[in-house]
Amino acid sequence: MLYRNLSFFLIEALKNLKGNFYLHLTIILIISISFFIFGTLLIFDTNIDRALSSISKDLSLVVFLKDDVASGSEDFLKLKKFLLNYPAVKVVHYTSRLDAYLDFKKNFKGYEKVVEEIEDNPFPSSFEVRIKENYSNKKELADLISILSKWKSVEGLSLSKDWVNHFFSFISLIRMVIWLLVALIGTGLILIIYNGIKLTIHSKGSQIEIMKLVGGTNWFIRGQFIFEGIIEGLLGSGMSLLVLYLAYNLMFQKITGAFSFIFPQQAFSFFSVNDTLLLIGSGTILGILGGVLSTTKYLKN
Amino acid sequence: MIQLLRVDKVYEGGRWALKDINLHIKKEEFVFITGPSGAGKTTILKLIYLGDRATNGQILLFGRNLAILKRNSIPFLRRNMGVVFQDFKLLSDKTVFDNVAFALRILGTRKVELKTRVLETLKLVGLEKRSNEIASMLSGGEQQRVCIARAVVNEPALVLADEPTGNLDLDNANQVMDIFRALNLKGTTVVIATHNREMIEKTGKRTIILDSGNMAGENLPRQGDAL
Repeated sequence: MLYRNLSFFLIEALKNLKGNFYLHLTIILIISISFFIFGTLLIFDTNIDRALSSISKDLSLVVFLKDDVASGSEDFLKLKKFLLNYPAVKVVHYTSRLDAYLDFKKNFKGYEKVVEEIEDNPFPSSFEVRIKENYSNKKELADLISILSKWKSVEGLSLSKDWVNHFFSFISLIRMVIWLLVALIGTGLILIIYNGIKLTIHSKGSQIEIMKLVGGTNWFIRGQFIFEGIIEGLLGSGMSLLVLYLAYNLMFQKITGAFSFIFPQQAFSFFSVNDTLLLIGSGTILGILGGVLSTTKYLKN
Repeated sequence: MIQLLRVDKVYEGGRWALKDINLHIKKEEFVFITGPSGAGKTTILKLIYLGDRATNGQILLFGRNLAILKRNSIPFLRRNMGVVFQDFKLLSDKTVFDNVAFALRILGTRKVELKTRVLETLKLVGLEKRSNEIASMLSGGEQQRVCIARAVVNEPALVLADEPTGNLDLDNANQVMDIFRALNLKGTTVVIATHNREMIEKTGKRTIILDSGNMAGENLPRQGDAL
């Protein structure tokens, strides 16, 4: 009985799709276009998250010490302890004046003479402070800079308070724009599908009425329309994924490649398997909802 | 089989469609409900097949009180009755066979049995040779016979018909009435709402007369047509 019903639903759904081919094709294309836009935003959101985390991974603050602060002195130890205990700090690495001098000579080959001609070592000793990954507490980081800039044994800092403020404002702005777009597209998607369903209601009304008259239960009546919705949802989301994949391979990588000086290219990728399943699953669920909602109006009477 | 006890139906806006209707239709009976337009003929049928609910009063059908029948029980009750309309209500893009088979598919009837029963029923209404044609390509009389075939294919105990000959010429109307008589002879209860007095007189069956929602009279069947 269940098998007979399911095969009946599937056959009727396919007949309905064939019977109103252009209407259903339009709905599938609408779903597909909507999912394409949604998917594009999802790719950007995922990749921007990755890019931001890779930037914040590299975020570090260099604290330059005054020349008279010797390694192991009370001031030195006090500052080191403070840095290690600060919540935003992940790792603290000390570079002595000599190490800084040798590092320069090693990293800037050809320019050795520039420092050799200066009698005294011009490089200060420093603490390189690595900030925790995905750290987003702007205030704590700004406070850290503020405290350190007033610290008596500190000569200078590699980051300013303004830079930190601008950096976190930039991240917040990007996230806000993405979520605003997601919300706009999401609302649009719901409206488009709702109107698509409204169009199909007109072609389904008489069939639902007849099914009711001959004793069809509500779930039996819904069956074929749910199958219809599932097919539309699967085809719509599947098509959008295919187009997205092709577009990603043809264009997205080139675009991101051009901006690789901002974001590391290896940080960009297509959907994960989970995201792909989520997208197809969302299409299917939307299709099921469409099938249920479109018939509910007639089944209430 | 059908009992209406003090039934009123008031539509939104306060328009009375039926007032204090008392009616009893026995099993295997053939009954006409007649009266001018707006008399309440269609409303009575609607209340019986639960297309609508009565405002007041009780309706008993197959021993069940429709006033307290739950919504999810309606489909199962409808499987014991067939309904025929003046405007056919066929699936115009489907074949004659598919239209008739629709009622059996809902019951989950097996493929082989379904085919046999549909063809037998189409034979009963004289359309066995048109089974593969698209329903909308048939004449009005033929479409009405498809509608009757769909209503009776699952052998219901009751057939309700609302102006079944309203859109048909005399020859087709006679053919359709012959089918109803044949069904009644096989034991099916038939209730037909019509304003076609000629048809009623020719058939000579029990007739309930309505006027402005009130019972205006009743003609008993001619002798020899007790049922």
